[in-house]
Amino acid sequence: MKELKKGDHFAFEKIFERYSKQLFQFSLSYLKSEEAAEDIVQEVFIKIWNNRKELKTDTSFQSYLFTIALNSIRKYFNQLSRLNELKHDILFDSSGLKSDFDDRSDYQAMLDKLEELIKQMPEKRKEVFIKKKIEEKSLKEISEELNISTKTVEYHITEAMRFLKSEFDKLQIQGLIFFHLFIG
Amino acid sequence: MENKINYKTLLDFSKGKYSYNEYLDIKHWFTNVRNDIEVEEQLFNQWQGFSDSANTKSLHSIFEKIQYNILLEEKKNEKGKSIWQYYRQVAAILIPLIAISASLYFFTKPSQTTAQAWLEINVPEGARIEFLLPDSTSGWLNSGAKLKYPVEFTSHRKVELMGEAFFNVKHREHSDFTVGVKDMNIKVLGTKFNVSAYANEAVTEIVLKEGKVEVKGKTATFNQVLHPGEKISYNHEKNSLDKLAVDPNIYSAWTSGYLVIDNEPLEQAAKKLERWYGVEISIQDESLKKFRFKATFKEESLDEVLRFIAMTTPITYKIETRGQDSNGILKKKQVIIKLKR
Repeated sequence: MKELKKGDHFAFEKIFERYSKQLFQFSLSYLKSEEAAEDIVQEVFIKIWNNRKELKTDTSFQSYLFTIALNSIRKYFNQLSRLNELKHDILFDSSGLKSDFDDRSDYQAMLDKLEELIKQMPEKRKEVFIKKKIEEKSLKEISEELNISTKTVEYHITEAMRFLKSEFDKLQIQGLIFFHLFIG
Repeated sequence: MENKINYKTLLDFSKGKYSYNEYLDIKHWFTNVRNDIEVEEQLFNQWQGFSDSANTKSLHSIFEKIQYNILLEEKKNEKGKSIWQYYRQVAAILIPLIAISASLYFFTKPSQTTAQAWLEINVPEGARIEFLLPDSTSGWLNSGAKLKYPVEFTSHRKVELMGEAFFNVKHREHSDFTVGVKDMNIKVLGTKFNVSAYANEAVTEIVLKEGKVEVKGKTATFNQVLHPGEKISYNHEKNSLDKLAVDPNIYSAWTSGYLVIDNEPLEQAAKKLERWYGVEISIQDESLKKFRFKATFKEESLDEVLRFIAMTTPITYKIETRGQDSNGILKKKQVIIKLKR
């Protein structure tokens, strides 16, 4: 820690090696996004470097790191909430069971399934779908960006939603397997 | 709203076992409760539980990014300091002129930042290099390419390129990005595209994969807008401009280590092979130069590639041992291609 205070790059690397994975896993467990967890690691360690002169060698580095990390995670959690809202809307719209939807404890499993299903879509459809539902672009914007008619954009969205619905319905029928796999 | 979070909800959430309503509870806590010591203690216990996360993927690339940011920051600070020290000396020597030199400092400061240092990446023949610029624009440089970029970008980001490159330009609000090549300027707003502009070739090619770019001639007057999946080729010897619909993936395949020859005459393919393997190829029979063929190579050696060409076209080839020039420097490997008789 003393070496780090003096601005030793090697000491900094050692600290990174020792704590970065812990930080990554902890961030991932709350943010559910590898990208966001990587951003946290980068942000937190840059902060540690920039504040190295104020490091107190007598208190625990673990709790110091934790405090910085928690603040960053809170901030990202809020930033991600819009994205989560959008994903929730897609899931809700494509789910057959709407009444107890928000209380089903397999929500993360559904999010993962959604991610997987989006990946399975044909290239163009996936692109249109993400631009519309995740990036919240208008039909007109998408049609200009991709050089296709708004009719084609609408068609892709309808087909994508139909695909998601039928896949989630299939899972509903095989419900038991699905539940046991992810919840069991 | 009641906001009681228990340890189990937290633990279940972090393990991915939760409902949407539970997610909302956690979100509510994250936004509103700042000084809940009890929850924070529970989180800290969890945090310590992650201390042996040994089997996580390597995070070293993140460390490199951090290191890069730190070095950039330090360089910036150093520069700021040295200008300051310089003016302090000036002021000390010319005490009566302190006011003038101070105002000089403030007035000249903006031009100080524009007249800044440039960095250059040179790619050796036969190699491909991935790059990351200070604004997070990334991409690849192909064999023999040269990229010049400023240490620090202003709102008009500009780089200069010789050779072939693939760019993934980071979009920034109110900041355009221009790639200057020998005969044109390519102005972009956050996009992915391939440029091929070798000094010894008449044709400059741009292939757009995503987004939108505007291409402007430096001497010839043309101004074209490119859409995804379009290729523009400008021949500065003939002063001719061509626009074609293509599969952009073929043109960026080299960034993943593929050498793609797409129905090209041997003469053109040989140029690609020369750069790819850092060799010199001479085709001895005129008639052979027009022979077209199609192939994709990955990790094949030069010998294997030539053997393949010899199988599909009527050629024989010879790879000569590397000679030395008068200074004792090794020359490039020579390949001679002849018509098979």
